[in-house]
Amino acid sequence: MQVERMEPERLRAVIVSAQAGDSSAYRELLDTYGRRLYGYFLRATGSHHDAEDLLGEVMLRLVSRLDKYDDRGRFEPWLFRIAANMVRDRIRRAKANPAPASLSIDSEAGASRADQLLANTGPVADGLLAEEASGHLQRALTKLDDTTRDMILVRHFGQMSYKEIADLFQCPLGTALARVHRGLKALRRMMGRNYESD
Amino acid sequence: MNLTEQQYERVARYLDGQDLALSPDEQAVRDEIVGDEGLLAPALAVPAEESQACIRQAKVLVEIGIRENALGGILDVDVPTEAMDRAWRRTQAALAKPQRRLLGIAAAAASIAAAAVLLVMTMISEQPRRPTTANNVAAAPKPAPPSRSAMADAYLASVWAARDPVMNFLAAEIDQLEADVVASAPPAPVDIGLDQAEMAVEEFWLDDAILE
Repeated sequence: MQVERMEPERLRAVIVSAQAGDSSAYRELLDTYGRRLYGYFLRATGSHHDAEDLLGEVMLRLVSRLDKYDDRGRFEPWLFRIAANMVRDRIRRAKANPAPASLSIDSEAGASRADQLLANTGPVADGLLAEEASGHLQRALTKLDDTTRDMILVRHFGQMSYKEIADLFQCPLGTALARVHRGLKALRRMMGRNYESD
Repeated sequence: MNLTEQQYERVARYLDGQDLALSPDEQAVRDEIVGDEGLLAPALAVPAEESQACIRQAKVLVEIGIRENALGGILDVDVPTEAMDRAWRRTQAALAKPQRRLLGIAAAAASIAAAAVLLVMTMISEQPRRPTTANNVAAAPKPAPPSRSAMADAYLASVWAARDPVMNFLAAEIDQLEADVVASAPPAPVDIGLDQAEMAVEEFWLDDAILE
């Protein structure tokens, strides 16, 4: 994955500008991290609509909370920590009220969230094979437990270290890696040939 | 291949950038994880067009959020102490209202209860007393209390007596004289006839009841 990043000096300057209320600074942050955030939300919820909603929401939280950001920490883990908490809240609500937005339970029409994702993704530039692999992966992701799925996703999209993942999920470092390892193996097994072909 | 918790921790530290010498088992797991992550990445990728549309929408939201934040700063004001005090007093008054209402209800209920007790007591005092013993056995009848009319007569009599003792003396003498005359006189033929007629009527009704 090609990761959009800012140079540390530039990022610091952008954050200072954003903290002063400069809208162009926020636009720059969104241009840099928006695609990864959207990808994380889409894979975590399996819903284009939810991902779109969460992307807007995380940016609004950024606007309201950026003045509390401590520059001594790393910005990306801080940002994805907010995003991960939002996803957890969304999943919790979806489980409490499964009909409209369940990740793992089929909808009333009989279509899983993964099928809905396929129906919602629109034009896919990378072709049918990529779309098929994407759909297979989404279905496989929904079969993982919430924590393991989220660990894999914040590792990929948030570029978090395992230490940061362990902190975020409040578990020992070895446990975090063990879960990711088992989750990746399970995904490979579920994806089968489609996974290998990519 | 599965590792122990400690081995996983060493691999995690290695993947996070620490310079560690991994065992062959740890190296194998490291290679497996790195390989899986590499294979997974293309499938996780999201079409650029799709994310761009959402990013454009999020930019609008950010603009709105920034303006709201700025507006919030302008709208914020220092609250005067007097205003806070007044608000607190109103709050206290609002809190006290239900207590006052309860007190009013309690007072009304107490008045109604007292009136009911008085009414019951009055009704009881109006009824003729039915004396009973401790074993609820009817006791010997006692003289009934004087009625209101009797009390009124007694009152009037006492008033009358107080006013004219001579007249009272004369009336008593007349009453005594009448009593003496009635007691000493023989029964008149009319009275004897009336007594016989009464006895005949009683016997007639008595015989009729026995025949039925």
